[in-house]
Amino acid sequence: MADASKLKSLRGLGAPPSPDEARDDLVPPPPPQPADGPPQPPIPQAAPRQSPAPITPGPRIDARSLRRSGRTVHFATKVTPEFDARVRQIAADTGKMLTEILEEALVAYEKQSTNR
Amino acid sequence: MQRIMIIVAFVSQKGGVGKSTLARALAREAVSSGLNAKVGDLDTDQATIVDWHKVRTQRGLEPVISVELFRNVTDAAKAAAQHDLLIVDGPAKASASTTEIAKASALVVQPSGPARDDLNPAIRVFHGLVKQGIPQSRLVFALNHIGTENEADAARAYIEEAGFAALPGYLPERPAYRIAQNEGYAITETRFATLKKQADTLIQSLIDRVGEAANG
Repeated sequence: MADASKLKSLRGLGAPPSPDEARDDLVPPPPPQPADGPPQPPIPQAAPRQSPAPITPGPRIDARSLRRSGRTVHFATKVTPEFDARVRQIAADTGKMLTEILEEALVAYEKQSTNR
Repeated sequence: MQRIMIIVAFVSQKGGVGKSTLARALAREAVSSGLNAKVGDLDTDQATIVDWHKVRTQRGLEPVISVELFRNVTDAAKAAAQHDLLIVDGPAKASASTTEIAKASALVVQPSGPARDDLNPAIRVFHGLVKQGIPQSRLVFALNHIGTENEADAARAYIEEAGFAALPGYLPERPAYRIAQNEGYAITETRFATLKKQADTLIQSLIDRVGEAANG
């Protein structure tokens, strides 16, 4: 028969809480009396987060956020060092920005895809 | 023949322990097996499963699972009267409503991590439910966020020493489960075979336990 007591040396968790440490705030409230008024309306399912919820802070407002126009967004990705070097070389050779090279590459890709 | 609806509830003392994760997986597997199951999301602040259900519906994932937000277990039980199984995802924190949920349920599952910080508050909640008259046999732990086999064994022994049981199997701590759920899948639908197997093992032991509870 297996000896489970060996596990005690592994665990280091000590002794678990005893029943004397039971949560005592789990007592359900008494059922509502009929004189409490009309029944509560059902919860609107389409807007579950509109129930009284803690106020969440809005977007941070600072000089940068006030300048933000939404014209561009961050486009972060990981590429190989070779890819990075090639794109930068083309940008340097043509005097364009990296984003212009990517935009032109995308246009070329789309044109090539539709011609297939 | 009169339909008998079984209620399985997931409760916890604190958020992030895996209630919604297990509730979704149980619902997915129950519906896949042909059961008429419904999820009652009682966490009206977070509505985790309602949000997940939106993603799942938008992506057209099968099987379709019935999910609805309810204020309390009584309303959920009324709405699910024609179902075989009502899966209740309890509020983020244990409170008096946890006792009401437990009283209505054939099985109460409390997920927990393996640390003392996770286990002790969880054990105190179950002790509190026993004090409120819930039979110990209806209360069961499910181990989640497990790092090693030894950690699972130790947590299981600790729970048993406290007088409760933990379901066979456990969920390891893996981002793949979170990624699957972000995409509207249940943990039993992850594309990683080993993780799927571990989720299947835990959910199967849960289903077996639900079967035992249903048969008295």
